[in-house]
Amino acid sequence: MPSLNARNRCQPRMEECPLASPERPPLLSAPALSEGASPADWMAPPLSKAELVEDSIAEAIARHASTAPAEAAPEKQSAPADRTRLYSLPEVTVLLGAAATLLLALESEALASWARRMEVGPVQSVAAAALRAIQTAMEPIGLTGPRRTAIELGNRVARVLGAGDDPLLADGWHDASRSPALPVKPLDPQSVSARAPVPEARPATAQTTPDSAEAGKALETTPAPTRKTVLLLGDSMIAGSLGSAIALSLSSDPNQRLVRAVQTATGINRPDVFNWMKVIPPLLERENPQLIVCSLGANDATDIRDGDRVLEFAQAGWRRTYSERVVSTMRLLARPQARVLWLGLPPMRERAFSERARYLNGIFAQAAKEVPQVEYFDLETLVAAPNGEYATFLRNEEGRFARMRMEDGVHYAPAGARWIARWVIDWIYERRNRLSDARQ
Amino acid sequence: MLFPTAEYGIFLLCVFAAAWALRRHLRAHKGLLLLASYGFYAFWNWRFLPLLVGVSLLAAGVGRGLQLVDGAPARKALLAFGVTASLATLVVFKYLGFLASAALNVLELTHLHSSSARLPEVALPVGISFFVFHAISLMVDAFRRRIAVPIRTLDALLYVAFFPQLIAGPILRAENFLPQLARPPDPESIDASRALGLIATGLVKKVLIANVIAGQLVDPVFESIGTHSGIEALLAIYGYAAQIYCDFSGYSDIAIGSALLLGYRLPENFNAPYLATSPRDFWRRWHISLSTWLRDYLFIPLGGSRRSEGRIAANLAITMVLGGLWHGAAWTFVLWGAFHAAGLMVHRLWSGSEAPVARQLKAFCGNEWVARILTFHFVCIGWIFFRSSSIDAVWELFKALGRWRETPPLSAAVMLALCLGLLTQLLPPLRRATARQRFSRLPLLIQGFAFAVVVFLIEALAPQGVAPFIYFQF
Repeated sequence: MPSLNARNRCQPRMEECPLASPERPPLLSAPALSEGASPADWMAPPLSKAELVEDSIAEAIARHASTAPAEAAPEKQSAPADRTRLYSLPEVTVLLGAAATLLLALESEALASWARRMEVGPVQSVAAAALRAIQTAMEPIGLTGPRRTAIELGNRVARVLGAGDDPLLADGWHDASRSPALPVKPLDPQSVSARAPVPEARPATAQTTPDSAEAGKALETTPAPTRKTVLLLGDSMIAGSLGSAIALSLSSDPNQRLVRAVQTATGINRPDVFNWMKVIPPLLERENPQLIVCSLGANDATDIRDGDRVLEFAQAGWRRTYSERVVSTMRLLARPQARVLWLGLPPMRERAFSERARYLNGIFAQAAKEVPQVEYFDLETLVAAPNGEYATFLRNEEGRFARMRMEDGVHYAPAGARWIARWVIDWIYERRNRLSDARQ
Repeated sequence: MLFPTAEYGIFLLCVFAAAWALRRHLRAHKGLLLLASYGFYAFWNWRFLPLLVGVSLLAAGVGRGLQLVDGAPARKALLAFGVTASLATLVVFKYLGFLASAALNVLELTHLHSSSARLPEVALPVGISFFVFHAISLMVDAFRRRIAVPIRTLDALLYVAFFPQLIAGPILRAENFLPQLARPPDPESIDASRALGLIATGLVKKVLIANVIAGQLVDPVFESIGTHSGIEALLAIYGYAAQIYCDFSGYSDIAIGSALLLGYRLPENFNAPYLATSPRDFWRRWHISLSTWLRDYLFIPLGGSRRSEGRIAANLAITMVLGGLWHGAAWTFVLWGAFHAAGLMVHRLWSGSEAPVARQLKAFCGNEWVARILTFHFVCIGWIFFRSSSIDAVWELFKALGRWRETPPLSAAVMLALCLGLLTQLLPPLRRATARQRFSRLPLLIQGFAFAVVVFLIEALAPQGVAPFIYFQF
């Protein structure tokens, strides 16, 4: 094993200077002395000393570089901690090689899962095959076990600490090792969508407004049929500001219970990554929603892997397969006594993506016609410029220009989310009243 | 390509191997790093690559010209051209929509104009605020004759685009980084233990602390504040203080560690900012590479403190408001900058005041921990502006702080992450150095395995999914 390099051990390091008290710390790292630069190169203020003395307001912003005691005498630092070993290239190569080898073995399962999630294509095929082979080789010698044990331990600790993913949603990921082995049971909404904003993640009684404590008491004694459960389901398009805007609008209504089951970066066309078809039935069984708002598809404008075949986006085979999956998903959602609002995709900033989104919207609209309890909600005109194209800034309800879309040109900004939420809320109340009328 | 991903790990290992293999051929070595950096950037969005190259070439050309030209008027004109072109690029790509919408709203409110015209649509290139500031630093340092080596085009391109700091800093100074590019990195003095320590620390901060706090506390509260109680709002503010520190300093740690493995040194960006005892002290410790950039390239050229008190206050306000606006095209960032400017000015007046009341208060606040707690809460109030999506949302959050209602119990995991996020700053540098020194004494294979086990545990215990770093949006 290589021993410590005596020359390197004696090199002082600025950031370890014992003079570096929290009050006057050296804040820039010193360059290696071997590079021929003095520590003062990093530490020296850009101004002359006289300028700094005179320019006292510079301190008002940041005069962190004026750490005279520390920078003036690095040679005097003699505490043992000042000497840090510097490594030679072969040493670092051995070190990183050892780390990479062990990580490849211990993380083979995670890496195989990562490769599976990559966009369908030749790179993904090669990476997935190679990493699957490594995983297969590691399993017999027990090197995939530690990760499963660590995850199980982590899940247990998370449960003890009151955190962790909703087991039901986690079960949708192909990498099921992350799924806590919990029985499916009616779950406190607090744990639904643990990785996404969860304003509804609280007991129903906590959703009452402060001045409606009476309403809160009434809620606890209200017969269950009069309360309606609204389920928001989908990807990042409904996970962030839109879901929050809907939750905020419903928060003052004690007769609404809101559950958000969202998983970012998921869709319908990659069940080999995340399988909504597996998640939806037990989710509906558990939550029994009467009104469902679904937004899926933003991640689906990609090729589909069907066994060994790759179906190219918008080709006949792709359209047939995807349409079947959309209809199947809608049928799963459309249980008796439930109404589903399927949100279409808005125009996107990137023209090619926008065209693909429009293509998907055509499939969603067509599929909704085949499933009676599902309604398609067209967002192509609601959050678009008058000519139907993408626009970041649009007039809000007050007639002023407001940012409707995020910088990424895909997701909704808060103002845009509020704008859409108004229409969604209208739909929720209108359908809710219809359901109540039908019951009576 | 986010840092805490398999893609980045593989990318870094490949670049490490290739760059060190080419170390004896300096141009090829730097060319490879440049190509890798452009590849790293193109992974986000290749369409903005020409913009990055264009801004870099402009800075390289102007910088070299400033080194060659002697006449003062010509040099000033050249610098003015370079800086104006760089800032114009930033304004067009980052602020055009925001400024146009604000102008139209004002015009329509005053009935001067009513339009059905569409606002300009300009996509925001990732990292533009950072690479434009790098370009300006190169030109101004050349103007000030602080760059000791001749500016070569390849060096200038690599200085602007060097991948560890390309997306979110630390903001490099040309005068410090270009000399590092003048000679090959030393293969006998790689600070590997510090590099691995920083990478591991950064991963913990980002993946196990910032992401947990964000997903389970901060985002839910800030995104629908109307449904939350005062206690939740208060915890969310503290949570955001911990989150943004762990998120951004975690990114900086990984950036610095990655560069160290390649033999390059980036400046430190944080130094226990929540231990600051005054607003001024906070800006010595928070996002140091930005605060010093603003000081040297904006505040001092404005006249600094060598003016009247009124002018100093104006300079400070301009600097901090523009510093706030640098973070994003929104009024909330303007308010955040103005809030800090006000804090700095009040602190300046307070420090110089000899009034009896001030003296008594100073005696009270002279206690280090009282000063720290006051400063921390001042900073936390600033974070409300920083995190809120609109001015209305800021007002909603302040209102929520006074709303007392039943508060659902917060999970222990979130509270633990919050406390850890804040307490990480209490670890003294000397202790960290000692731990690193002990680590470096272990056999090499054990060091490698130990690092692998730490990364393995972080991955296994992390929430599923990868959240982007906060500062990527700037």
